[in-house]
Amino acid sequence: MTVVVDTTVEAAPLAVGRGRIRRLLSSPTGVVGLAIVIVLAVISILAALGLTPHPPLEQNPPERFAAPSTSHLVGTDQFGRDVLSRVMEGVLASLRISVVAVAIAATIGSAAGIAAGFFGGWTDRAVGLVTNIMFAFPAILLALAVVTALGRGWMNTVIAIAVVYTPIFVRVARGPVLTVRELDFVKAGRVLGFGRPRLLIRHVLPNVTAPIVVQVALALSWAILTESALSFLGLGTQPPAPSLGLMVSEGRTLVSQGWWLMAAPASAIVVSVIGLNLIGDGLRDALDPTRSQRR
Amino acid sequence: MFRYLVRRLAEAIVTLFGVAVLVFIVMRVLPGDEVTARLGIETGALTDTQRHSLERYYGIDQPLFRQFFSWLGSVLTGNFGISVTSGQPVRRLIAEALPVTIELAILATTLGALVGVGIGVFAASRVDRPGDVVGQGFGLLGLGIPNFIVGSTIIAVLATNFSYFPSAARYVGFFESPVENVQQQFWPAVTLALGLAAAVMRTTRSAFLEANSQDFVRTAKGKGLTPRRIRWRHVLHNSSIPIVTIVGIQFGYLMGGTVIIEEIFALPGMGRLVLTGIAQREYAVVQSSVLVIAALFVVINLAVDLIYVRIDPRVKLT
Repeated sequence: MTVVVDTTVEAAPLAVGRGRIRRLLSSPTGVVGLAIVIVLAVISILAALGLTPHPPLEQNPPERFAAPSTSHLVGTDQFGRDVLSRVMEGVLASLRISVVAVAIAATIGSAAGIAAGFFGGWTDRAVGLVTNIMFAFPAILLALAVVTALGRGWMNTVIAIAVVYTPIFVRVARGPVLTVRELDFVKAGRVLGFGRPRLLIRHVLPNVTAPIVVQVALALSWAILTESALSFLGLGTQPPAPSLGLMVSEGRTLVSQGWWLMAAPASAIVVSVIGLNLIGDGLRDALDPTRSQRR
Repeated sequence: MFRYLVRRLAEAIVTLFGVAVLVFIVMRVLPGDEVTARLGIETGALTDTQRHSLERYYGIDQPLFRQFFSWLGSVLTGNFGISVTSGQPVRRLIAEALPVTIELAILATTLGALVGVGIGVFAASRVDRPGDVVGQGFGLLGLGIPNFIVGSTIIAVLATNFSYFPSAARYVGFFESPVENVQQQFWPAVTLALGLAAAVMRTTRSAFLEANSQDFVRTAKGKGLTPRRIRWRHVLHNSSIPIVTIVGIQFGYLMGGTVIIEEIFALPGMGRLVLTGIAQREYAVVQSSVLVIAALFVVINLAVDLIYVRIDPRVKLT
């Protein structure tokens, strides 16, 4: 039996390093997740460049409810529109909203959480209170209210989803800061007379990124779920622009005329969510030292 | 313990006050008010005087902070306001909707917890063998499939293959006819239970693996206990805190998280009450219902923390 000794000394246990990325790629879940997300990204880029098999909005009445064939790989819908093209466009819409929403939530939430953990005292109490309130407020109803208040449009859906997921990032970021700020290297920095901004940005921040990175992957998958749920209820992307949730909603009443109308957008949602979840799991295993030892 | 309870209750009151402020603000930000809720597009035909007197009638000509405290004050005395469109007291609307949602949440959570713990233990006791892979696959699928897709699929399959439409009939209360009621609640509960079971399964699996590596397991083996007894009595008990947490979180989440399922299966629960309330700008309905949902959420979270002490005497609540 050979014993592999890891000779690299990690600066701190929670940092994202290059070795960790390699470890992500060595776990099957991480690789599958990454592959799925790359495929989704390619689909979105193609859709953004207008390289769908057919224009997603082009109606073709004689070909209504056409079954999957070589000219329409996933068939057509009640207006004779190509379902594959619409799903591709829907994936783009869904990813765009989720990515922007999670970026906002992660930035604001992590900043608030890190500040709360680092400064403690009143900052911590105020942030904690706002977080508790937002958690107690029913999430989907909060998103609904935000969308209703702001009106429809993709940026408003983004804000609604960002509002819902910000408190999660506050909690995820605050916890590790409490540990890190008591570690010796931070104390040393304090003794050396480093200012608070320098301590915070140069010493604390790099050491709490790992849980936030994991959370970003998971939050992206939930954001896709929430986005599709909102558009399922008719509060997200508006017709005729394609959106996966709305396609499922319309498809379910037309299942008897064409199963693909519901199956195609539904599988796009499921595959996206699972792909991001797998990356999240893979990252968690790769970045969490206590877990990696077990493997 | 007593001091802990007092502190938690004080925190809960502050949180609920915050929720009240938030929902009040959100409702005022929405375009439209109770006058447009009552009259719809006919609002445009009102003269200024008519409009003002209606605003005075609904009390929305008052300064916002006075509107807020008069609403909160009446809620505290048990008066939740009147629904403008139906003319019914909001308290009665909530009294009708709340049992529907709570029953659905209890059914879904029970079902989800049983299946989730079962599969979780099954997978964890076969780490990295085929059974584990199947279990983990279930976990991923359950988390990945949104409940509205599960619900829509169930409805489509029941309708096309069995000509059964779970949402077609008028909702029947449990005390009116228990059998019919459970029939109507069954499919929505199964729909919600799938995602819940997946979350519970994943937590159970990792908590079980954590507990399984501890010394008392070796001792139990040494005592000659059967693997089944070790698994279900010793290891499961020692992994129950994360499991109770996730079940509690999910149950609390369902208080406000059943909207879409209520909508798909046409169940007249809290989610739909708030959803239509938002659409019709029913200030009293939305504000009071959201407050009730948040209160339940806070109480459930407190209850979960108190359960910890029962499960693990080492837990000290401070």
